[in-house]
Amino acid sequence: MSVSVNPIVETYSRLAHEYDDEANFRSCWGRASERALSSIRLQDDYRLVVDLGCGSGRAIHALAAAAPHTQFVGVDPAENMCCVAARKTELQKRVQIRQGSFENIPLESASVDYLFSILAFHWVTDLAASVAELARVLKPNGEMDLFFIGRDNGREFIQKTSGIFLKYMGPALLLESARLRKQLTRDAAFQLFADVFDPSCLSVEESFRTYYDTLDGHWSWWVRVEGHFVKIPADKKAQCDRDVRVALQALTEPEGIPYTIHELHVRVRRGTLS
Amino acid sequence: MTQEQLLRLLIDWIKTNKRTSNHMDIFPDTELLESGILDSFAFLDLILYVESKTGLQIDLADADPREFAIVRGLSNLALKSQPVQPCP
Repeated sequence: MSVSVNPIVETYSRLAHEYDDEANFRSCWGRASERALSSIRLQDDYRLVVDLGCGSGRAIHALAAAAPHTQFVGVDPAENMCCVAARKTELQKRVQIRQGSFENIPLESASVDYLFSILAFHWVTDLAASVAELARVLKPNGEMDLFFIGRDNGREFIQKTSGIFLKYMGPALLLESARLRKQLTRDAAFQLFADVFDPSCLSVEESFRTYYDTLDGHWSWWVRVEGHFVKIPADKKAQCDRDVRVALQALTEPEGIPYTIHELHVRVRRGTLS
Repeated sequence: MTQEQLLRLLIDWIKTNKRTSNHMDIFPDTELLESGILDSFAFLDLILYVESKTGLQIDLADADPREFAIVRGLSNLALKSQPVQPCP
């Protein structure tokens, strides 16, 4: 089955074999992902745990190693990511990797005890359909943690590079690329999930964390968002890259070049959240 | 809608929804993107807003990048656009 229907999925699939590179792991996105992963606490009574947007399987591999009696399913739309994740977890017999998406989760209704997702939900193509699917697969007392980027993510870079991308992409492609991301405010995210989940079991926290890195350090994770730029004509891509690097270098502070991740954390818990 | 009315519509929306916190005033020749007043998400919202208020369908395919991000350029682009065609 192939569900690689959008440029983001195709880009991630193409980059799957470099995704676990050390440079990506050390980047702001690698650090933010590890931070989210370290906050996850699996309960003893979880029988089925799902990682949606599992990528190369790094998180599910780590969690499964520490929870020997729990079944795990990792889901990702990118075919090559699924292959990498399957290889990584092939010795973990309670881990399955399936191709699917937020909009089409390949799991039975009311089957999941705990679902988590780290920095993937902002790539959905249909917000309402995705939230409905999450509610469908979770058990009535199921729990969930979704970490994804919010409306004000990467303000430093956006302000410095928007004019450059406008120049090389033109208005139509620039706005088309913006449409690929669903970056919500905290209030919009709460409303979106409260339409489907019991608001008394739901919370949405937001954080702003600034990560400093070198230009090459930041550039190493730029591949992760390359899907935005796949439509830049090849003859303009090199010059565009050069201009963007110059613009980002100009942001340099004593600690390095800043990038602020605006992260939203949607939590669904049994009973009422205090 | 006249150009003056459209400029007023744009400027009012931008003042309400701008991404910068300072009290910068907005004029017809204000650049919106590189200045950080709007980002691409806000631009999408602005275009949808203008289309809903004017009944025009803004065609970005031939838009000049140098004009697009300036209030008056966006206004000119909208005024050149065609009304939304009703579904058959």
